[in-house]
Amino acid sequence: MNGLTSTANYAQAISGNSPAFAANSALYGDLTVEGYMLQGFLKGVAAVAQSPGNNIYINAGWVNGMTSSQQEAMLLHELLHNITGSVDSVLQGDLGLSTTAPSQNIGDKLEKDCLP
Amino acid sequence: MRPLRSFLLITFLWVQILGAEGQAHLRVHVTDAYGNPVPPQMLELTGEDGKTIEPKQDEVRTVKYGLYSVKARAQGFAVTVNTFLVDQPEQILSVTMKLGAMEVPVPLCSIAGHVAPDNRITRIRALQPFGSYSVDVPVADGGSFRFESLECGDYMMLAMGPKGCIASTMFRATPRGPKVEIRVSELSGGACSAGR
Repeated sequence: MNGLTSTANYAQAISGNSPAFAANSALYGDLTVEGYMLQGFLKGVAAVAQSPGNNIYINAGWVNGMTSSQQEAMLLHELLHNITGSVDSVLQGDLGLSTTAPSQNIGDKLEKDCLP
Repeated sequence: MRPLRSFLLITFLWVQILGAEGQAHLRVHVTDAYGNPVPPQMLELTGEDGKTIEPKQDEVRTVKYGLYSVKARAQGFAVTVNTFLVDQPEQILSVTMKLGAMEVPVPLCSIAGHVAPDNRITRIRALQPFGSYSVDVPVADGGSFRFESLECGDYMMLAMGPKGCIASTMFRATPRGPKVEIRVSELSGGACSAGR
């Protein structure tokens, strides 16, 4: 889905199926997915995923500048959120990565280990 | 026959008392920072002897007194590890899960406030009602105070003087929340004055 035009409530869109919904709702209030993407644009938010769920919100401003293998790795990263409902630090820990580093290391590892 | 029966009964009761000494009926309750229950995917309680048990949310387990580490994992939250001293016959360990980052760090909260007009107040304590975190900051001469980089959530704010707690109030810290303007007259003093 296009994250830069989505007016869905961010907390509902991302964590509506998760026990973290109430806390995310209190934290982010009326913020939309679009608003989250724009806030996070300078920090490099390329995509966010419904965790758990089926939706992935894409920030074309970042994704269009990636190589195809980087795009595939990013999608794999977001699919892990979809499937497990886990946040970045948990995925990092499960993959044996630093849990304090930016989440870019998840995509980097998936690209290196899983993609040709 | 009767003395023997009495002796056995007393011995049985004494063994029961000795056996129960230093044991707690323990429950682990996992919530978010706003007090909403969070069903953990994984909950581990590890004692000083390294022995680990896996209780369910709010399930009563009998353990010895001592230091315990609780590790909890739940969807949408970072893995949380807390240490607790278990020293009550009936005890609840409150574990507060922290939201986990999704691509960018979870926003933190500041609480900036002002206390007036009571100049007896020298410090403000922010206390997590659903967790075990607490922190004190001083009140400046003008009555202002500030907490930085707190996890967003509910806090009990205690206004403390040199001789103890003067007043208290609940506060919800949000990233875009307004400044806190706390006047002593608006504070609920009952919580602090009780028992004094």
